[in-house]
Amino acid sequence: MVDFPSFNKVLDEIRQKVSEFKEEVKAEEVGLVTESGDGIAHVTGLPHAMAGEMIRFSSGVYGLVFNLEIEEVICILLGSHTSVREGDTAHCTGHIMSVPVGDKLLGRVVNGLGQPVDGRGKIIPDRYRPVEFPAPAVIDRQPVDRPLQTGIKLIDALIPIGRGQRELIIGDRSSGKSSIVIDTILNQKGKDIVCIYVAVGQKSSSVVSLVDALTEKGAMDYTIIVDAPASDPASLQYLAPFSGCAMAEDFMYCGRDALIIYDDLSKHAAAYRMLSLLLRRPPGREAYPGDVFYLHSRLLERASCLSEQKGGGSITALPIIETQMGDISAYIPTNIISITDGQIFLDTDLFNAGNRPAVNVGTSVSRVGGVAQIPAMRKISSRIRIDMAQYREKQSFALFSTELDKETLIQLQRGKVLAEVLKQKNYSPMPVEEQVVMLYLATKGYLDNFDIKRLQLFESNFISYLKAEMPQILDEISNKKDFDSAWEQKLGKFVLAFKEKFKNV
Amino acid sequence: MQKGRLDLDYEIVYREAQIAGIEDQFEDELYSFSRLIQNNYEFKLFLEDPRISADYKKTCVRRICPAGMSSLFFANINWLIDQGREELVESLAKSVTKKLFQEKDILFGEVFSVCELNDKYRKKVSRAMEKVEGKTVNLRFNIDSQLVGGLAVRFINGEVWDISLKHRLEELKASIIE
Repeated sequence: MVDFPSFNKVLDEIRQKVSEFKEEVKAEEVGLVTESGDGIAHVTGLPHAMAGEMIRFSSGVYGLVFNLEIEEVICILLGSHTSVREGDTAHCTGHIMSVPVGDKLLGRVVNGLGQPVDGRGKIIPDRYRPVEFPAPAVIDRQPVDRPLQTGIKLIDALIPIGRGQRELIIGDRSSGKSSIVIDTILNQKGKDIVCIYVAVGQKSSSVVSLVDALTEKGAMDYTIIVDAPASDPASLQYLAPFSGCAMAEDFMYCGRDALIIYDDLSKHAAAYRMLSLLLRRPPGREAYPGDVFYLHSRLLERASCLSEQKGGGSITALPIIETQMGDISAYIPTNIISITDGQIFLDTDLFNAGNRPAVNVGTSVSRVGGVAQIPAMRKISSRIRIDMAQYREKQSFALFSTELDKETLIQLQRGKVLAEVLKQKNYSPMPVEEQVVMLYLATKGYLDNFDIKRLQLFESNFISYLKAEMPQILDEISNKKDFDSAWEQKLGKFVLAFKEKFKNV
Repeated sequence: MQKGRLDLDYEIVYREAQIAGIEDQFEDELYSFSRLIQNNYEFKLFLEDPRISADYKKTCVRRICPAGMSSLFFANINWLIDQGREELVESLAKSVTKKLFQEKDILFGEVFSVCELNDKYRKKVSRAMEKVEGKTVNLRFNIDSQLVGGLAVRFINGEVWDISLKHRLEELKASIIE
């Protein structure tokens, strides 16, 4: 047994302190829970509660004030709703909802409240940031003109995304939406862009495989996953995108570039609809509340490119929307389309036909356009658009006729080659300089007389050969971001020489 | 917090002590501290009072404990104080004691008597208990003035041998009422 010789001395000191203690009377508002259920609590006795303020219940669970009514406030519960009971007391905290932000979160999987859920211990954050924050003012922004390379040839060439842009990715289920964003995250390796992936209402198994894929490719070092799976309460699913945005904002206001992916906002809208109906707010179209547009507009408006005076940081947002049977005219898709600066439309038919990524170039658009491309890509991409448009036109025509003139046959072949070159495998983003080389070859007719089935093999062999034999061709693009006639000649000679060798492969 | 969950958490604490190779010392420290709390109601109230700051409580605990106590002991006590769960010190101590003696295949028990027993009596009680239980026992001797006379042995497995005067008087009282 251990002896405690100084126990009596310390106890005497404690007694002394207790006798000196003077109680102070302090008036405090104490609310009373009158009703609780479905993650919603009605609290009376808090006349000074503010909208969006955190409320602490006697069980330790926190709530967020949503409705301020004459006699009561209605809160959404940010934890187990079974632990709040009728008759429990509640106190105002005077704080609005904040989440941990900063570099300590990199590589971690957190929930909608910023708490770790990856079993890798506590996060001791550098600082906290409110989840709701006004979007940067007009004067604090600058035009979007720096490219954010996705590593996907088709997107970088035809629907370029700039840093600070909001580009919607829309498509039916299993059309390759998440694959595009994973490729985009993978492509940011070594580019000093922080990626935040917000999974709302996703299956936990999908999030696990995403984390595994990112870890395997070494992409978790610059990525934060905010996970609000389908099993989480609607309140956490509602909060997750705002929490993720707060984390991205911290990087933006520190002068860094961030990429945030909301996967997906249709489930976010459904979670908000659930909360709103439980809060007895009047339902509108498709039972969504009247402010569902504002919900997403205030979230996406926070993505921006800050002016140099404000540090020049940016948030690029890639919201995802899942459509039903390709219907983009539903309520939430049309809302998001009108908010964002363009959309990448994924077509299930194209996907099933083996065109991956299954981007429908006709309905996809980037309102930022060529400004967000490097000059080399800009030069090539205009030609691709024309070639692809001609190909599609002639393709339907060719279905009815067997006898075609030589020029049409060339255009059809060029189109086929381009469509093949634009195909890309999952998790294999391509650096922009390699994209420029391959697309240059396709548009200038170097691959016209090629067997389509061998194009993918040609591409991989050619790029490795180019890297080994003439890396200056790629270096010139990555350094100058442009090419000249000398570069074209060098590449032309090189490709002709390689084609001869490739015949024997 | 549910009991099952607590046992799971305590298991981790015990394993930590085992990895550090100080499980005996750690158990002794926790047991002694827990007895200190049990025997001093004022101190128990002090520790469990939410109005007293965690820092002050931790300082007092640090001052009460003699030098040489393990850092693992302080880490666990401080953690409970920080979490406002000081009332769990006793169940933590009990769980660690149970785990330690279970692994050693020794039956642990506490002997309560009105006055302090001398070594001769202590050995006698231990021998008697070993005979009755049929296995090695480890007894710790404590004083309980409410027993009036005699002694009581409480084993960690829940078994109680109560030959105190208090118990006999209670039995007598019960039989008279019947």
